[in-house]
Amino acid sequence: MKLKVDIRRRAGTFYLDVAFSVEKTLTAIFGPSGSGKTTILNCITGVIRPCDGEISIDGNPLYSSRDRINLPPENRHIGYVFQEGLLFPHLTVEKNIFYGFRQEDEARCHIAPQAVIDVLEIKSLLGKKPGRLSGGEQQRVAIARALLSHPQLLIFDEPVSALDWALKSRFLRYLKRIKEEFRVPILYVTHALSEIMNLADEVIVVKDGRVLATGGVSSLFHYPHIFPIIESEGLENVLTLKVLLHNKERGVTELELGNQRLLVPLSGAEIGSSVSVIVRAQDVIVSHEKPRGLSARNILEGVVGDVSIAGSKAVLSVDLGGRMIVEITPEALRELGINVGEKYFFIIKANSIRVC
Amino acid sequence: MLSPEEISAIYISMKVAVCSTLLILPPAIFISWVLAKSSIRGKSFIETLVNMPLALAPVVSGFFLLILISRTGVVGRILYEDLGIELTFTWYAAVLASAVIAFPLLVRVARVAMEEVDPKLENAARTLGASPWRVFYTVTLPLSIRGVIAGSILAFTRSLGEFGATIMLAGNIPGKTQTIPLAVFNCVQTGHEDEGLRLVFIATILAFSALFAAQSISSRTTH
Repeated sequence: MKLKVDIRRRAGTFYLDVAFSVEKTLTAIFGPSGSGKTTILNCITGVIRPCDGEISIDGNPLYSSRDRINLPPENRHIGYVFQEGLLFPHLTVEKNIFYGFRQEDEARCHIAPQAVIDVLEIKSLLGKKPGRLSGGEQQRVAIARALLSHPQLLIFDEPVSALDWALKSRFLRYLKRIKEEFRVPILYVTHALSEIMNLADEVIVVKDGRVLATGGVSSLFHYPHIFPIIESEGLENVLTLKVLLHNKERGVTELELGNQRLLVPLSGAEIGSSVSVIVRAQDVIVSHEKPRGLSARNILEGVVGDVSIAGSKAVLSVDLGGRMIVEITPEALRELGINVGEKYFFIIKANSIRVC
Repeated sequence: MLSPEEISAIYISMKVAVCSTLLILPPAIFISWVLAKSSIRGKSFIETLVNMPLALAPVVSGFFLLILISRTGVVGRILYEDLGIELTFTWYAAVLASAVIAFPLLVRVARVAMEEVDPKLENAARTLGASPWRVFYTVTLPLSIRGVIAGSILAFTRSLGEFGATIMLAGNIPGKTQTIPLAVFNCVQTGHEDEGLRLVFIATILAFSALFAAQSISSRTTH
C-alpha cells in the first residue's frame, strides 16, 4: 500500500500545505496540538475537502483537484478510529462492529470477525450498548468496527490522549497485536511521540500546517528545529515487554528485553503476559565499563545506533533488545567519547521504571 | 350521553387529525433533514416558507388553499376538469387544511432533534462505507426518532384543534366535515352552549393527553 498526500487547504487564518507518502506498516503523524493533523486526516478520509492537490492510494486517486475527483468517504475504504470512539449509541456492540462489514470483502482482506473479536477481547461486550462500556472498552469496539469494514488503511486520531497511562499502555499492547496480526497499514496521529516511538516504522513531523521532517524515530533528533517539539512532551521510552518471572524475595519482576532482562519493581501482572514500561530518557546512565557495587538493578548492554546533539542535550538512540532513547549532556558525550556502533553499558534503577 | 352528531364530530376530528399527520410525516422528515443537515443554499428561504402558516391567520392560509384547490383554482381546475375530483367541502379538504397548518410544528421539533445528532457520528458511518441515505435511516433518524414522534403528536394535536383553515376549505357540514371545534362553534352560534361544553371538555382531555405524551417522550433521554 502506498498513500500519497499532496494537498493545500485554507481555513480562516490557518493554511495547510503538506506533501508526504506513507508506505510502512505503521506511520506516525506527530505534531503539537493545532498543527493541522486532524485536518490532514479529514482530507484523507474525505470528510472535508482540500482546496487543491492530490490524494491517492496505490495510484488510485481519492481526491484530485486537477482531474476533479473527490470520492465520498464511503468509497474510500479508510477505517477511521476517532479520538472520542464515536460508537453508535442506539446499537449494540455487535451491531456497531458489523456496521461496515461486507461478507464479500472478508476473503480478500483476511480479517475475520472472530479474529478481531479475540484480539481486541470484546466477546463479552457484544450484547451491550456503548453507553454501558468504559472508555477503554469503547475504544476497542471502535477499532473492531473500523477493522471489520475491511479498510485499505486504518487511521487512529490521538486514540490515547484522553486515557491515563495504565489504559494507554493497554491500548498500545492491542495496537501491537493489530499491527502483527492484521496486515492493515496504520496511520497513527499523536502529539506525544513517546507513546508510539517503539511501534512506529516511520514518523512524519507536522507543525503549523507544514511537514517538518520524515524518517525513522531516531533520525528525528538530528533536526534541531524538531527537537524542542519532541522534548516539550518529555522524552520517555515506552516499551511493551513480556513478564518472565516474579521474584518476591528480591522484590522485583523480570521482563524480557531482547536477550537481556529488565528488572522492575514487583508487579502483579501474570507471567507470560505483556506489560508496558516507561523509562525516562534522562534516567539512564551510560558507562564504558561494566560497573560494580551499584545499587541500581539494571546494568544492560547496548549498541549506540545514533547520536545527535540538540541544544543542551545529547540524545542517543540505543538498541538494548528494544529501542531506547537516552539523554545525556553534550559534555558527558565528549568525555566518554561515545561512538556510533559501539557497545556500552546502560544503568537504570528499577525504581525509576514505571510499569503499567 | 353524547348525541350522534357529537360522536360524528369526534370521529371526523380523529380521522382528519390522524390522516393529516400521516400525510405530512414523510415530507416533514425530509424538510427537517434538509434544514438540519444539508448545506444547500436558500435554507432560510425554505424555513421561512415552511413557517408561514404559523405567522398567518389560519383563515388566510385557508384562503390561499381555496384559491389553489377550488373548482376554478390552479390545481383544483385540473383535478376537476380532468379527473372529476372536487376536494373543497369534503373531509379530504379538512385533512389538507390541517396538514398545512400543522406542518411547521412537526418540522420545528424534528429539525431540532436531527440537529442534535452529532455530525461526527454521521461522518463515522460514512467512513464505514455507508451512503448518505443509509446514514440517514441507520443513524440520523433512529437517534432523532423521539423528536420526530413528539413533533408528530404536536402536529396531531394542532390538527385536532384546527378551525380557521378548515372552515374556509371544508366548510362546516355536520357528519361530513364538521370537526369538534366547528361543532363547538355551531353550538355557540345557535345558542346551545351547554351542548358545546361537553365537546369542549372532550377536546381539552384529548389535547392534554396528547401534549403530555409528547412532553414525556421528548424529555426522556435518548440513550
